[in-house]
Amino acid sequence: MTTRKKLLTLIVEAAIERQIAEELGRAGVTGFTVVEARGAGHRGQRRGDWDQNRNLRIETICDEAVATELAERLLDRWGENYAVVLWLQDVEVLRSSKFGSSG
Amino acid sequence: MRVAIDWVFHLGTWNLDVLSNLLDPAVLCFLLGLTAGLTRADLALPRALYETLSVYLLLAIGLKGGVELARAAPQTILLPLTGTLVLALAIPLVAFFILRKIGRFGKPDSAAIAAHYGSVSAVTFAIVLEYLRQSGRYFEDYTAVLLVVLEIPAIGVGILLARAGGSGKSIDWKHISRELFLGKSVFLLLGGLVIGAIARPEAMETISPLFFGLFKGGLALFLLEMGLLASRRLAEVKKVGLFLVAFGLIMPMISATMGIAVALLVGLSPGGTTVLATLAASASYIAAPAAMRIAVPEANPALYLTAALGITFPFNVTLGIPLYDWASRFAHQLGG
Repeated sequence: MTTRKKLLTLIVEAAIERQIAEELGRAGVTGFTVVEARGAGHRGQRRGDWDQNRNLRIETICDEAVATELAERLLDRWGENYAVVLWLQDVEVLRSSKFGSSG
Repeated sequence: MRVAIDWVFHLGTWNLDVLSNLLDPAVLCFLLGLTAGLTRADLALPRALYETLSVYLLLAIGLKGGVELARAAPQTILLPLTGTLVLALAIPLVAFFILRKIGRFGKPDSAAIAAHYGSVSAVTFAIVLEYLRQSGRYFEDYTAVLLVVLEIPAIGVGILLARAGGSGKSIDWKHISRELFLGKSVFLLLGGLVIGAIARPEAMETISPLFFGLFKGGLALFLLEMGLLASRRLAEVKKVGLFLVAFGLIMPMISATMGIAVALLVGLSPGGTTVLATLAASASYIAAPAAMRIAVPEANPALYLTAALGITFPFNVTLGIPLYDWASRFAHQLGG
């Protein structure tokens, strides 16, 4: 009934939202969700109170191969100079065709 | 001797101007926000309000500028426009040189900070116009055009300075130009200018209560929020070091002096000179941070945000504008 997929979660500064969305598109994910986030980390506090201080939480579900390659590419391109935290999780999805082709 | 006497006399008038500027309700609102932030008072305005107010203010500044622009004779604009362009290119170069040679900052940080000081703050512009209007002073009809002209070129200079002779990394012009030309500040200012200039005057009357009548109130509310934001940047001052604090106070005076020189050369009125000096002295905190974050990712945002928003903006709003006005009038008195 359910299929195993990967959930990729990113916490990134809002400055690069458009570029991240384009990267997700190029990787071929079928969709993603963005929510506003607040918090603190290596690059200080992000209160989300004005443009230069906003954080986002971006999530997408896709096949494992796509997810790991995407995670590497995102870290490679943005990890050094931008606030980026990301992780992968196993998830069980219904209607697996919504999240990419295989399996 | 005569000059010395004039100077002492003028210094006295500056003190008075500072006091009357500090007792302006909008400036007091800024100080209230600053106090709230520094004392950790339970005051936080929703980001949606900040966004709404910044859209309102930018559009209102553009509209008002457009209405005034429609009255200006086109041939009178050309020379001030050229002078302002020179200013937009010269200020970031001077700032970059100071940061790099005296401050010993790295190239990306120097370039990014320089771009902020070359670019302008529309809110500081609005405050200086209110300052002049309140005392019934004359200034040229086309000052809003000078604001728009100053916004972008310095950011371009900053990007080129950061990349000059260095890393082979290609510049992401696609996203950068989007931030520059389609960013909300330039887009709304230009859009407002066009609407204000071409709209039927009698129809403009119908929106003037909101955009012109309530403007100062909106500005006061926005300044309350700016005080809060500035106080949070002030908390970072310890991390950025004493040099940048000094730079945040001295650079605006250098830029204002350059602004006054250009204003005299292109023949602006004393009021217009004050406006151009303030524009030159102001540092961007909307367009420049957004563009530099994308264009020069290795520059540390804490440095340019703290300098522009935590130090220079509060200085300009409280002491700077009366000071630049004093210097402009003094320069005109010397010249005339």
